[in-house]
Amino acid sequence: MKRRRRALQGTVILALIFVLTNLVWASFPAPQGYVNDFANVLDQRSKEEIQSIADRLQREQGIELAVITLSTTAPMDPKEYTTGIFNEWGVGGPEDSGLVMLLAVAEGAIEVEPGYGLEGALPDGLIGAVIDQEGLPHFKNKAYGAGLAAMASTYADILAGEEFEIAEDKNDDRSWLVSFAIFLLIVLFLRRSRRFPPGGTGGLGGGGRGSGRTVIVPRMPRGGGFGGPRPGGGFGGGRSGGGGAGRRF
Amino acid sequence: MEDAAEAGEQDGDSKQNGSVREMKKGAVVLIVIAVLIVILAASVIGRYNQLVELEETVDARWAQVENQLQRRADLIPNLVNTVRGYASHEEQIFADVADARSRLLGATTPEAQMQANSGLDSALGRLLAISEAYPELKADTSFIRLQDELAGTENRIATERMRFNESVQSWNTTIRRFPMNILASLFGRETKAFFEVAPGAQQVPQVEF
Repeated sequence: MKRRRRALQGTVILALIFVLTNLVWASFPAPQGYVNDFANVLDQRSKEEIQSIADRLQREQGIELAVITLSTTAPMDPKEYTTGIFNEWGVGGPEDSGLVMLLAVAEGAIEVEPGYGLEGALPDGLIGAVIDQEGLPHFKNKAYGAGLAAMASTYADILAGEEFEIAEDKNDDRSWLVSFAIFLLIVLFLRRSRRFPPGGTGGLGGGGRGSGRTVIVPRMPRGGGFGGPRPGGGFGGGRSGGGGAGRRF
Repeated sequence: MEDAAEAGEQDGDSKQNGSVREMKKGAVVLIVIAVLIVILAASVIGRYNQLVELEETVDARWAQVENQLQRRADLIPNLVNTVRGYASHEEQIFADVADARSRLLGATTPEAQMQANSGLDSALGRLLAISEAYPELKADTSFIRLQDELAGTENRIATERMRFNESVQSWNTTIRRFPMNILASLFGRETKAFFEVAPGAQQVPQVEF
């Protein structure tokens, strides 16, 4: 009876650690695809327009475009947040061909950041000029969707002819399954070792060893691809060096 | 007689057995020592290679920082020329910027580069500040572009600096931990300096509208 209770306690502790470690990582939300309207400020038509531009860029040129809206980026400043989420999501293919457009409503900020691979085709001055001409007039009228769609289409025009290696499809769901399976295995292992307690090893000792392992477990989905609604894919692991341009409106 | 000879033979047998046993024991000890040495050597080699790898990472990250510093230095002549077009009498600031730039380009060690860079930070800050007094300059599209390039490059420097500092931290922690500290001092490896930001220099020029 006592043993079973200990096993249960161990399982609960493990589950807590598992959840907590994921919460810490969740400082950036998980991507929902190319259009991530976390602030809920985009109209349906603009979303579809951006989605089709992003689809085409990915399919034909290997460029990954991520559009993100947030109510706020606090406690980070918008630029820091953009660089962070870019590299966390890994936007862009193997040749770092990613472009992130991030709009933070509370800060009134628009940040556009190219991956390493796009820096040549999209110099910061040009990125800024497109924000000024296509984005700001709309943003000042709170027409966030229209502004982002106009910017996305202009960037796509500028990038016409640039071709990059296309990221391999990674299945996000599968990597989550793997991590969950490992978690289950550890739980089973723990329960079994309860059934045949090896001499002096107490419940706490076992729990400690188990928790040492769980720390590794949730790391797996982070290393893998990131999921979106598009079938079988996430972003391709592209990196950025923090360039680009931004404006306040 | 026969009995005695047999007994003698038996005696010789057990003596021989004894020395074989001793030889075996000696061999076992030797093998154990050899195995220990091999294990030790393998772990020293492994740790040394880890050191090499970490140091390479630090060097590579620093090269990235240098790239971005160079990139910023390359932008400055254009920027100065644009500002000069509107504010030709601000010669003192132009001279300061040119001075700070050549000091950065002339610096060879990372420490000297870091120091020269913060000098350039403050000179550039003053250069951009004078644009506030010239509305035509502020509205000049090529000036806006250059400011974007400059801001982007400064953000890149910040990012690469952060990555460099992370690699320095992991290097420093590794070589100060036991038993790596013994190996590190044996090969004369020392802790490396972080790329600190001078207070006030974090301010990235923002293009406001």
